[in-house]
Amino acid sequence: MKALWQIPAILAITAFISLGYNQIRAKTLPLVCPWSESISGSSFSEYVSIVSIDEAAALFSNNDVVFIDARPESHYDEGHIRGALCLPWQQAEEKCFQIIENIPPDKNIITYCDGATCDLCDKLAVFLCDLGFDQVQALINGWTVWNQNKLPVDLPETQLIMTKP
Amino acid sequence: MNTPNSLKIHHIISIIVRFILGAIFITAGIPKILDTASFAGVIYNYHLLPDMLINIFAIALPWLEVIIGCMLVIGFWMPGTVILYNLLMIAFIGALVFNIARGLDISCGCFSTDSGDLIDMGTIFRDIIILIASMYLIFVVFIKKITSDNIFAKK
Repeated sequence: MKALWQIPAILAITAFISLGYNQIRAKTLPLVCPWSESISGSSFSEYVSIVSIDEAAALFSNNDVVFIDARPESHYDEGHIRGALCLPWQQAEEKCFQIIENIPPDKNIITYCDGATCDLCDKLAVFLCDLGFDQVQALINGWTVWNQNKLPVDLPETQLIMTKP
Repeated sequence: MNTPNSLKIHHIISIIVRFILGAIFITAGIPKILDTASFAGVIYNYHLLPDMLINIFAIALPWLEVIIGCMLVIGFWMPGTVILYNLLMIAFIGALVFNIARGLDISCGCFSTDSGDLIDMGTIFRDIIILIASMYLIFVVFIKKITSDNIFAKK
């Protein structure tokens, strides 16, 4: 059966070309990298500081912060940190001005998304810094840790109850 | 029944499917070859591979996509190529389903390394369509045994 020798042959050709190209390219990628060590506990960007859940909760209770949800709008609609604004990273450029026009430039802003390695909040924080906000922090794995700490959230049901006359 | 007409129809359809599927893999592979470091980050975010395999996959997988895509387009080593294509699509769909079930907001890394390209049910649906098309090639190559060589000989 031809496939029996063709599959290993294709894999061998792929290994030869890919490893060879990796060696001659300008930015050679090391074959092994300790990803977990290099990412955990640190922000992806050196320009944005990370806020802990305790600090975020304290700022929230003092009403001294604006949370901005970087997740897609459908995820925001399913639930978000209470009072958070929706600014999906994918639509940041087109929607940013209608979201940020009411936020003073010196206001604390915390961006968040979901998942320990989700970097949307980090990218959105850098984007907001570029727009002139200088008090922007990122809450890594924000939605999950906010829920784990049982902090106030807006859910579709609660929004419905709140809007009833 | 392998009548000459049905063979010819399958042959024509399989050429179209080969070109489309091949173009999909080539289109998907090239941006990742150009930005291997970002693609390694995408693979890490899937949380499916140990650290020691992430960079190796990031280096080899885009090339495998491009090579398989090229082989499909030119119709070279079809039995091995279509099996690998199907195995890759099954692996991609499995990885997507697993991470959507876990509720992770991660970028797909399907056609680019852009972090805004998030996985969702639409991504899975798209990949299932591609898998069905690639399974048709399995049918054509292994069951109908249609190749460029025999199609005109049987006429």
